[in-house]
Amino acid sequence: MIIRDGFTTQVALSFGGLGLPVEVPSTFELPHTVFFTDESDLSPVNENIDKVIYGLTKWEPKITSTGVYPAGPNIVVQGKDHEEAVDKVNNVFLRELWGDGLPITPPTPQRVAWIMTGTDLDPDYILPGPGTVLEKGGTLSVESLAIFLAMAGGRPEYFPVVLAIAEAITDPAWQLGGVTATTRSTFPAAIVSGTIGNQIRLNSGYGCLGPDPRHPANMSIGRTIRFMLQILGGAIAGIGTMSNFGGQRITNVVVAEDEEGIPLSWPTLGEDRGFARGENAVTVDAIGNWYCHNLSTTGGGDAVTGSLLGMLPFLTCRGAEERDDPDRSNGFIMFPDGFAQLCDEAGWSKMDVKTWIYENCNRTTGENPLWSEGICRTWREPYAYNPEQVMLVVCGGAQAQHTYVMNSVTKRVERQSRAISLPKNWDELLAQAEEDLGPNPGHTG
Amino acid sequence: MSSEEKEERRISRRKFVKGAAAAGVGAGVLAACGSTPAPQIVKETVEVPVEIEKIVQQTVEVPVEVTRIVETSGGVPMEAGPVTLEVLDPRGASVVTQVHAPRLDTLEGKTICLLSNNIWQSWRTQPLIGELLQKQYPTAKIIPWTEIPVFSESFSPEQYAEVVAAVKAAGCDGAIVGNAG
Repeated sequence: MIIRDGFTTQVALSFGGLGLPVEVPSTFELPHTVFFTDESDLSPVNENIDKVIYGLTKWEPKITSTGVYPAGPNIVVQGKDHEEAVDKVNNVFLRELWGDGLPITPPTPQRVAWIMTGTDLDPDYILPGPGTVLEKGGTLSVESLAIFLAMAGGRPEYFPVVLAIAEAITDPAWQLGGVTATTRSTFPAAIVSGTIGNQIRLNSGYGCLGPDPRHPANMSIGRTIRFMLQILGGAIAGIGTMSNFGGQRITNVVVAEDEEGIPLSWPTLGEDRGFARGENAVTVDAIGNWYCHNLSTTGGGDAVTGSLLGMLPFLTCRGAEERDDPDRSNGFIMFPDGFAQLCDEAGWSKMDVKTWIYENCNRTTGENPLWSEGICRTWREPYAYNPEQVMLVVCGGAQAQHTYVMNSVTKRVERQSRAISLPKNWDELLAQAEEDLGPNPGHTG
Repeated sequence: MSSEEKEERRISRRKFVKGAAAAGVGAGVLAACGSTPAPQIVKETVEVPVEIEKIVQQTVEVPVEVTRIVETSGGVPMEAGPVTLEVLDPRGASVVTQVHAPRLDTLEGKTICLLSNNIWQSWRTQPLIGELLQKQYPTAKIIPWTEIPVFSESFSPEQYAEVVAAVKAAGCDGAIVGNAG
């Protein structure tokens, strides 16, 4: 392997994802300066050719047999009291690179069993699809996800959403290996459609991308997915993921659609993705950057076109194969329900808005009065190749002051949606949550 | 849900918000006492002084009744004294389905294939590596990267199969893959 400096451990994990031992045959790292320009100095290749020959003739792997390598035994810690024992568990998890820097809830057998009441699946059931998490290729079992949800302070009624997200982003078409490995600041964003959002206190209103004690599910589910990517996928900063900044990665993004606030004539994202209105489903995309746009800073046109014009310069995109495929990743554009209602009242259907964005993002340089260098800040590519690729989500509360743009990391990703299956004891789980957390506030936008 | 039920739901929510605010104040004060919660459910009523700033800029103390509920969670023991905590290893199982190929004894007389993903200057580094190998091993057969299909991280299994077939057809004894980064 010819590898850029610093990437050897990440490449080793990629071998794991292919079912090979997590080892790189030879280590031939070139300085990153070699990789960037056509005039780069190639003398490091001359100086390291012996390492290439060593890799082909002398290198020996540590693991030489196939087989299943089971998880380690349970970990037992002792403390002089409960607080010290919990501290010790947290210390162990940080030392083993299983934590994320925030305190975890110890995944005791009792707590994990409690989380498992959120599904009818067996603990050792392997999720559909490849059944592994790239890059490292750790086995994606229901029990592993239950452990992560326990660690993230979750509850069993969150588990159906966790299972659906995990299945969606491990689909090979989602390109999880590349999304994880890249130097870009990627993270998964999951939009939950249907009735389950309000049932499990998943925020769709004010502050839906941040912490909210009335809606604790967003943070916990997103953190669970991060543990999955980190522990099963090896996405550890500077080791298995070379993201320079890694923004939004503690909790990723998990948010419910505002199906109470969306104009009645507008299809929900779930409907755009082929589900019935109110049906429980999740749609996941890989995000590379984001921006909160202030609608009041725009100029020209009526309230709708003026606002949309101001947003356009913040739409970016990168890379594409099968460009016309409407499932190609395009990120999400989030409208608060107040702005969606404003569009609706002005006679704009949801498809009108999507079509307008598509058409105006493809205008040539100089035509946009607000962006002299080009209407969208794309990386060689237009924002979308057809209106269907534009994903509008209504969430964020009633105030019509801002939109939130989450841009795709690359169109190589194919966005994924999955139906969410509920366990037989669903009503009991919700009743228990009501008892534990108090009355469900529902949507608070 | 009927309109009456919806109204009742809204009323209940407001009531909850008021109650939650009061409970939050109580919890903060009680936490400051530093006592270890017992593992059983305890209900007690305490009076908590709360400072309220009035519009007239006067500060008055108002007694508020708060009910505290303390309970264990998730089966975690909370009693004082030595505590043993058992947790699950989160790594799960891993499966090795294939091992790395055995190394070659020498490159003399062997066919070495250069495989490229056509990024990160691999169109320059791979030919140079080929030249250097050929110089050291004149009897080796170097297959340039242009004779094997270029691969991509987003390839489907079928596309990867085409690359593998080309490698086999070329009779490669070994391969150099790049560039990763």
